Amino acid sequence: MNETFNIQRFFRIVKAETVAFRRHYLFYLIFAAAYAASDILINRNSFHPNVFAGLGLFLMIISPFMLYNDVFHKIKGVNYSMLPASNFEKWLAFWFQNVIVVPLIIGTLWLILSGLEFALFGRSIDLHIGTNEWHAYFIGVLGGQAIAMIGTMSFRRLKWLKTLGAIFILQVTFGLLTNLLVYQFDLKSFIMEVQMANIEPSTTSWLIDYIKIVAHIIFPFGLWLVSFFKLQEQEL
Amino acid sequence: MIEIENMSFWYKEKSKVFDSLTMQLEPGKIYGLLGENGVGKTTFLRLIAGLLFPADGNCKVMDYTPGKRQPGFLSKIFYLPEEFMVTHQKADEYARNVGPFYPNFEYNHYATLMQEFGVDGEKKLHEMSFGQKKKAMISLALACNTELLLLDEPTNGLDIPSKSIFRRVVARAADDNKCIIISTHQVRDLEFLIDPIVILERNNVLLNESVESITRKLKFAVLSYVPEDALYSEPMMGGYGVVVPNTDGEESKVNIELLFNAAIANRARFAEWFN
Repeated sequence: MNETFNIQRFFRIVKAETVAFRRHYLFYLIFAAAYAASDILINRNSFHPNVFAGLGLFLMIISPFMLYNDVFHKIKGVNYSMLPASNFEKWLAFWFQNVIVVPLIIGTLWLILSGLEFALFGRSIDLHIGTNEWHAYFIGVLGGQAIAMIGTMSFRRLKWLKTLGAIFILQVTFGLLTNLLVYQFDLKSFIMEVQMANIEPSTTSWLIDYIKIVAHIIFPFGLWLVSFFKLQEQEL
Repeated sequence: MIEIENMSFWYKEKSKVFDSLTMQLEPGKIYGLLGENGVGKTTFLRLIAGLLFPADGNCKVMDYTPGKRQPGFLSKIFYLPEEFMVTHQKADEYARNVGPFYPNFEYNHYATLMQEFGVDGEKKLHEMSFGQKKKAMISLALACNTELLLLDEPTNGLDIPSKSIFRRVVARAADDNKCIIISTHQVRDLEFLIDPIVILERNNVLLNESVESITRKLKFAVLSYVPEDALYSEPMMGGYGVVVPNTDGEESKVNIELLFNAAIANRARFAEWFN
């Protein structure tokens, strides 16, 4: 028996989870329908699928809390932990549901709403949101979802609240540390000197872009990796 | 099947649940796991299931390290906790989803057990009563046909006829390759089912003996008086239930409740006799 990965076993988990999560997925559908109905009723001659897209991005970020809130619970999580599949397969299924299935469902619903707007009011999809914007949103969602995945696995109760609290504490800590370093080592004058220096924007822009791309990849990837080890070490 | 060597476990280091616990559990037996509240019966089952990791020492189950939760290990073990969460699926649908993860799962066997317990598999699990849920989960656990079956207080919440059905189906499920461990406080429900008997005490195991070995050393009787050498006695219908050392070699029927109380009251003597 392959103890790390078996494609049949993986799809069996995905199938079992999709069946278990169908109420959540039905909720997305009802939410989209309710949004569309209320939007049409309120703005009789216009329609805003892009607002739904914003709400959809939020739903994508919080999906680990919605779908996997109980899997590390001492009582509620036993069935999940005892399911005969490897930690890697469970983690991959966790990732697959959040990063692939949920965005796919919400994206499809957004497309349907946009299509509806085109049919009703003749506005095309491109009017609302561009490819670059989507790309930026999706990168943001991946980062947010990765944080939510860690939060789901790290806390036993009030997961989302504690995750927000942890983010706030980390931000404040890093902010204080940065300020401390700047004043302690007189970095303010150094930063100003760098800013005053005549550096060509083209020279720095590629560097900034490079750092952004690396950060966008490293941040969620690193957190996904951490979430895998968290799952492996989880005791109930 | 289960080899535990010097295993220690604690939630808080100052109050250890197990301290250098060593014991072996063999296949072909239905172990009855007894112990006072809080001695760690559930923790013991969770350590074997790999839901908790030993802080020290070794725990090997079928040559696997449970804490690694490898699929090969998990497909050979079914752990039914005392309290459990059920999904919003129908019982049959849940069995069809979970069953295929276990190589020896038989849906027909599951359906037969559900029928025997009188549970409607078309009903949603979360709409069932606690007893019905338990019966559905016991049916699933037995139908998975795993080599190791861990049942934590399985008769809690079962009505009287269901307890008798439970005894029957568990006895039927037992074979030479399987090890069934039943943790229970309700010893009378399982008196004729469990053998050997394991009594846990704080930090360690007090007794791990077969019924035969127990009755070779101890005698259980209802007498009109309390003998001087009685290890334990309590008033009951018709006199006193007593546990005395078996000096004449005559075998008696084990009364697990009396045995448990005798063991708790005579820890040192039991440890000397049985280890």
